Amino acid sequence: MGTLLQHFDNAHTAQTPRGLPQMLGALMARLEPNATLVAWPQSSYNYTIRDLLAPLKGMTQSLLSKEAHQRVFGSVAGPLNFVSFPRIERDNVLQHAIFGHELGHPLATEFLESERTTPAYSAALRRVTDALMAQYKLSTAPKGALGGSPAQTKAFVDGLRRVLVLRKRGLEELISDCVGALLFGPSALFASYDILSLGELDDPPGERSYPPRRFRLRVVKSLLDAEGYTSTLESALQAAEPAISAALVRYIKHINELTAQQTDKSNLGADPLIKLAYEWIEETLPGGTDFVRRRLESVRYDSKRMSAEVPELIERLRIRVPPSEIGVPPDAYVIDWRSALVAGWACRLRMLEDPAAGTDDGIEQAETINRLVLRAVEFTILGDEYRKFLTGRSSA
Amino acid sequence: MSVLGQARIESLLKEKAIKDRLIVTPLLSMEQIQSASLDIRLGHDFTTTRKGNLPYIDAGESNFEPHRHQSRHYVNRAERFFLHPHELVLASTLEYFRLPITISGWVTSRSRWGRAGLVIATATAVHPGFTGAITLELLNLGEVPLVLYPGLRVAQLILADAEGASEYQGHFNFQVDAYHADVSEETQLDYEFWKPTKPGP
Repeated sequence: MGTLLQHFDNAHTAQTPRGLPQMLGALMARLEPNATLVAWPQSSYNYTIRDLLAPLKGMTQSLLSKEAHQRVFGSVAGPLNFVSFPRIERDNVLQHAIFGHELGHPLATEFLESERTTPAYSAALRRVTDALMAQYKLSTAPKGALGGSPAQTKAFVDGLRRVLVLRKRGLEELISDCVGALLFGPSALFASYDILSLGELDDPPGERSYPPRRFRLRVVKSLLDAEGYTSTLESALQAAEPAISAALVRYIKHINELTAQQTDKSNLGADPLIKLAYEWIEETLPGGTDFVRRRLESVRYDSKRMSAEVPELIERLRIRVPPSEIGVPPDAYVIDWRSALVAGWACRLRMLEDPAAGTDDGIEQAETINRLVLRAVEFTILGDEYRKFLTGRSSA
Repeated sequence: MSVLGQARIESLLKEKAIKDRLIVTPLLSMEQIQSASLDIRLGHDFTTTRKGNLPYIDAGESNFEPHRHQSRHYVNRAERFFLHPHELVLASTLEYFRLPITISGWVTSRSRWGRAGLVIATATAVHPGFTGAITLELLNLGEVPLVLYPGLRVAQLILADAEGASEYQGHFNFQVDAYHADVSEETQLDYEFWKPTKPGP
């Protein structure tokens, strides 16, 4: 319980920009209507999401009578999602696009559970088993038994387990990355690059079995290209914002060059177990992507809205006004708040090329953009709620 | 100088060129535009003073440490904030403004709140070109606590034409919430002349 309580320490509002829980709450309400959300800034540099309800229920089961337990937890319909993020990034609203990945984990788990009973999974598992048996020189004769020494059998079992873990962890991360890309569009790519480029891009899966960073970037970039986000954004900005468009094109080109290199895949091929796992991952990933594409149909970020909204939002940011709406009152048009993030990223990428980048003035400018985008998120969500309230009142 | 009436305010809000536009966001209701003013709403952010950590404020001393002097509170929609008698609290407007360079403004209380004892702003001028949320200095002059909510229309912005103004470039441009400012920050040179030479209390 102590460990649990320390999570809530520092979770007060001065530590948590309110745009963040609003943003997450708005997405969560559409992804999982029964879910409750707690956001917590943590000292370690990590973004996580986990369900607190199950462990809380487990911890209190022996402390409370059955009736009391039912009274406490009976009314909680959905998961209690506990979202933590690095405190150092709390005001860096553009980076919060990474939460799309975190919100993707439950969907990735759902996909992995659903595929276990499919013929494709059974066939692939059989193929991997055969390959491992050949690798460890095990024979299946006599029928049904593993012909080999105990050491060989143990090596085989360990190897199979390792392949399954690598595949599961790999797909969890990669499918979650796809969810992030569909929920946040280009912001997911820029935020992912910011984080993933902090480490070695080609490191093969280590203790935590994460896919290589370059592999993940490639998956996000390919999906965004396939869905038309990057080309749509480039063409939307080309006429309206040529300088920003040029900076954006250069940035995306840089990521293209990084993901075109296959050095991560060469590293994956060097270890036979990792090679087997990743061949299987590459075979499964298109199905996983289709799965989340279907699941997110009504929630995903619409590239047409992005194209229609982002240029004017950049214009507002240029005069240091929250990018929260387009048009003028009383016909001001409430945007999709994800467009505010894209507009913020577009400005930031342009600012990175500015000679002032990294100076006190450049940092102050970047922080101003963050504050304005955060306000835009809050205003957009508030505007939506207010309109719903007015509609409800007039129809009552 | 002429105070802007409803039609001028609406016209400025609809100005095509964004740099000449009066921006008020979010303007949740056009009913906020009155005959010669704009009702403005209380925001979610409140900054109270940590009295125990602040023996005095002296503009001649650079002893300002925001984390020791102020405590920030966020009040959700449909939640209460109690303003106690004779307590000074900073709050920001819900709306974020951008005034064209030809327009200046000042903030004043709304009569119904004034009668309840609420003083809304003591530093009321809004300069041409100012861009940001306006800080309200809330003071309860009444005898009983006042219950405030974010979204309440507690103040009004009166706008007027400004001629020959230069654009506001001050410290509070682009602010999105209310915070205490270091009163000694811009006055050191001047204060070398004015400030008391004997040590303070």
